[in-house]
Amino acid sequence: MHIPLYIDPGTGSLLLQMLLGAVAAVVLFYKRILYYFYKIFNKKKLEEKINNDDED
Amino acid sequence: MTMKTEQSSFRDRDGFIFYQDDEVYRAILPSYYEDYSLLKDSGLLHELTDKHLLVGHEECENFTDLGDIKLIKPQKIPFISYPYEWSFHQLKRAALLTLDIQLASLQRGMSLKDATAFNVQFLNGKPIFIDTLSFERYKEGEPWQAYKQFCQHFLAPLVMQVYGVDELNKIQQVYIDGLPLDLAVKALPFRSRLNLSIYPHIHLNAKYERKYKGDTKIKDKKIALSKEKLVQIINHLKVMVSSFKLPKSKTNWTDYYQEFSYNDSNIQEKKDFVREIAEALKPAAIVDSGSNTGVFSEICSPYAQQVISFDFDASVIHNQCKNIAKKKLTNILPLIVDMINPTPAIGWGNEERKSFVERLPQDAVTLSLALIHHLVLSNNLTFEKIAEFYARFSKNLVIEFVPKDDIQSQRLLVTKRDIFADYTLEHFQSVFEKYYKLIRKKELSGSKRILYHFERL
Repeated sequence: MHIPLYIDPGTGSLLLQMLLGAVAAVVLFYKRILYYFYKIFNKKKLEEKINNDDED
Repeated sequence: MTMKTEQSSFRDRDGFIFYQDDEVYRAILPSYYEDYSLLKDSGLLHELTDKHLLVGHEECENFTDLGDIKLIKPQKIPFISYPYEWSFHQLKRAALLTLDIQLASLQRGMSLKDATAFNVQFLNGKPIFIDTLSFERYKEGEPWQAYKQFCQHFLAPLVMQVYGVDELNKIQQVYIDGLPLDLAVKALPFRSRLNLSIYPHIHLNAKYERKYKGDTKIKDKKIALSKEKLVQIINHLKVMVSSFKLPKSKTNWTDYYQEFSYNDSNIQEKKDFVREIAEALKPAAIVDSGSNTGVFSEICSPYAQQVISFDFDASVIHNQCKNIAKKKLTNILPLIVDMINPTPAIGWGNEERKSFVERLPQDAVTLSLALIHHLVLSNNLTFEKIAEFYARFSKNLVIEFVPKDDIQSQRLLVTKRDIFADYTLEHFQSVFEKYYKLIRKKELSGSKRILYHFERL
């Protein structure tokens, strides 16, 4: 790590962002899986919604 | 033609603010030239100023003898306020602005190198970012350098208010670089740990900071975070901050307060008196001292360039902010300032952040309605001190005299010995006439209260 800075970013805070990034990635992974199934089971609903939106 | 450097701009070595002939300038030093070019060439500067998220500026010829510098003249902010004078509503908006700017910056290959709340001001009813030199080139894989500062300046004070910690503005005054996260953790209730959004940014952040502070081995370690993940973190912060609300108990009692103090029959007379003066004078600035719900600030709004209204009560100011946002009264700036103990000057040499009194506009029209009995009977101030104080910044003063036998004065004296023999109308008028010329006075019907309009001698 070599960064010229004028504020102290805090080592802990930098490391924490790595952890949060990893957690966010995991959450996003599961959200994508959930969305995949949601799409399968709600295909009809989604299509209806899209059609309705077009009417508006 | 004297150049006066802004005392608070020593932290950043890439430039500084100075004042000359009543104008504000920002000097950009060669160390920032590359980032400044990127800010312009990437289109970020244009995007942010176009959306009024960042103050606009014009580039000007270097007329100083400072050598190799670039000079820009930023748009002027008529009144500088500080985060510890903002309500929850204002701090939340300033936090969201900072996050929006960081997201826009990342999209164009830049990042905010700091995230202090002092970089935000209020202009035309909206928060606006004022530090044009806060942007630096984003390097792929780098975490957000200003994340900790954002948590200290915005997140911690907001979360504490969400969990009902009172009088936060006074605590914020003490910590010039934002609330230490350790302090927030100690003040927050246990249940805040169960909130999966708050826990990592506050509690875990404080823990990590404690654990790795001064750890020299970390220098060789690679801290990497992809841009996609960084954007996700910022988005998460945005969703969290947007969802923040003050607890119900904090906002309800102010409605009661509102009804209680403004149900008197002569309110219309008072409104007319104030409106006529504001309309006739059309001043640059009106200062509403002890504004309470801000009824009279609203009356004055169409006639002044700016209305600064302040009250010591944080929830009253919070509600006023929401109220004027709804009504789109963009020239009113409500602030949490205690009349009997206004914001002090803080920071290096007590010069970095100015006191409230120092920042007050000169030659304002000042309102002091239903306030004098509080100042004298509760706080033992003398008419002399009050008149002298108002005369410092008010060319015109609209002041309401509340006699001692008024029910509101009597309430204040219930638990106090009456040591105020000189609290009389005659004495009041004679003292104020040492500083002011009497222009007009009006007795309010159904009470012995009298409204005065004074003009400074």
